[in-house]
Amino acid sequence: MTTITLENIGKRFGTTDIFQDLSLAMNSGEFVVFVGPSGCGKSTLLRLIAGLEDVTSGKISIDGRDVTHTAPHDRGLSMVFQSYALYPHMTVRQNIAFALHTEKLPKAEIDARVNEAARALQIEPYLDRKPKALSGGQRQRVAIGRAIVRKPKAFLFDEPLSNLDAALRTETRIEIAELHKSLDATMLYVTHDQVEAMTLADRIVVLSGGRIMQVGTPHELYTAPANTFVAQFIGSPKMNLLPVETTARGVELSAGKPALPVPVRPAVQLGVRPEALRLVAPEEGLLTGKVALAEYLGADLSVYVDTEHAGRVTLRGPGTMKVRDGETVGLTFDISEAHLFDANGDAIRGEMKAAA
Amino acid sequence: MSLSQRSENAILTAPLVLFLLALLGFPTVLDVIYSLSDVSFETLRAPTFTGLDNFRAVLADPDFWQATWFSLKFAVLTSVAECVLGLALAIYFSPILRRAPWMLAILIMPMIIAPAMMGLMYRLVLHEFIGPLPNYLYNWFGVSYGFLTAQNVFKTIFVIETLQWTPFALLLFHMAYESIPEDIREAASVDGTRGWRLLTRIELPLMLPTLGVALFIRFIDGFRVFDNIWTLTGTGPGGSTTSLSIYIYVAFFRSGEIGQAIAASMILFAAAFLVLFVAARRGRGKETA
Repeated sequence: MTTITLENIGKRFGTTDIFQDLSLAMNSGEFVVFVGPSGCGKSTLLRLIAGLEDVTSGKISIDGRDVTHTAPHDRGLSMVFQSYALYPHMTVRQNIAFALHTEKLPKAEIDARVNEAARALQIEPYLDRKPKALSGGQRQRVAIGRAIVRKPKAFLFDEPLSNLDAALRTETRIEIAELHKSLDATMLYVTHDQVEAMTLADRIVVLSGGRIMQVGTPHELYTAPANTFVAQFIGSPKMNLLPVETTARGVELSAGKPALPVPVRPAVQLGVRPEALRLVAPEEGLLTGKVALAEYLGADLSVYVDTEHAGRVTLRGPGTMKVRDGETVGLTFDISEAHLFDANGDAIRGEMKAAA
Repeated sequence: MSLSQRSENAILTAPLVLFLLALLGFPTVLDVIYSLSDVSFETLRAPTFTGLDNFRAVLADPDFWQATWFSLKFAVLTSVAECVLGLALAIYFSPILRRAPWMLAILIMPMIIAPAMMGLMYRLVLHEFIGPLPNYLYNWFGVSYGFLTAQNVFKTIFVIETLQWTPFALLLFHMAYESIPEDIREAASVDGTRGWRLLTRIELPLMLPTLGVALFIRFIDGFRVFDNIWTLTGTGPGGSTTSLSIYIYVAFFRSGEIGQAIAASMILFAAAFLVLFVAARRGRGKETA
């Protein structure tokens, strides 16, 4: 069982600071996903943990041992690369066994481990093929097999599904989740896809511009985003942010519609998820607007409404809902489902005590 | 109104075919005729047919076999030496070249010198009486070494050829080494594969195609060697530096044995064709495997 701790990590490439003073602890057996837009530093963070890049400052420990300046192979981690990085001149069996031969394990042990991994990943039929003769999904399994057989302290995945097509991605995602359950190993996983993050993670680390925006379970991130960035990054379609004014009466939508209780700090934005919005008659709505477009997705219907005061707002309802383009509609939502954000974009929480 | 695909193809390729026939076909036919005839500079337009006499004469000539042996030995030794040195240097210099790619320009400088100039230059440098190198060797170290004597001349031209063409191998291997995907090295480093094992089990196998090409090109270049040896030593003391190309040249222009010279070149052509044919077939077999 493995814990990984980052303390005050700093990383600089030339004159560009990627991280400054980043700290994070990953618990034993946990599936931690680093997620964020491209350029947020999530892959660099993984490579720092793997030892492929050196930190500029700070300390990395694995199971309490300081590995900040330890070579990658001495950290006891396995990594699955985005491009799979299989050795093209070796067969699948040789690829999987190579690291074990490097460790000079006994032959019988190597064979046993390779066969076990091959069975678990269902790659037995093509153990004697070269990577060139495999499909993307098969290569992915081989790369995972190569990581498993070393029985590492933890697994590092660097966007492992981004080169697969949509159907295969979902399938492999489920397999990785099952793998985590069966191995009970610590896994760190980098992705830019919030769906992968939500479905796989025990805990998600949302990164932006080299800073941790929020760490939490998928449920926490969805129900209690710490700031507007996380609020809009997690969830699809993304959360609506409506401009509000905080007056003596409370928080009001600019239209002067019913106020929310007075928060401790003045709120300037109100967030409401598309699935929390309901369609009502124009005069009953907290907001009114015209339907610009409705996207039918089978089970769901996404409705884009151009409102007078808050611009375009997205609503997600059941696929059975009926709306006409150009129709004037009212939108309403439960106050308990609203998120308030201050001028810095940080969430204001626990302050809406007085009843409306 | 439209032509069939077939005749369209024929019309479009006709100029190229005619061009090739004129430039390659005509000399080839002429070569075949001359190689089967008794011909001199005076009788170029009226060769006398003599059957396979020229071929018999060439194959019976010990000088031909000596020249063939010389070319073969020279080609094998120089190509292997150049590739081994080039590979070692490419790997050794890779950290420097990655940071300062312009250094490559300096390293490959010898390649831009014409081989004939190289031969002339060393003829001066190594000359028994006026050459600076033998002079200083004697004055400073008391060593009297005849670079161009019969027993040393092969070593000397071997070193000259290797010095000039190792940079070519270095260039090829440098590009091959740098084109190994970085993530493969990273995967290896996470696995604990380092140093000698990384080189022999991962990097070298990935560079194998380049190694084959480099050896092949250097072998051909070494086998047909002419100008640097010709300007340095000519046929050499006792014919000791007569490569196959020099043999053919001498037979043709010095001895006027045009038929024999062309017969020798036909034999060379047939041998080269055979080697290339086998190499190409094996190469293709590998690709489909």
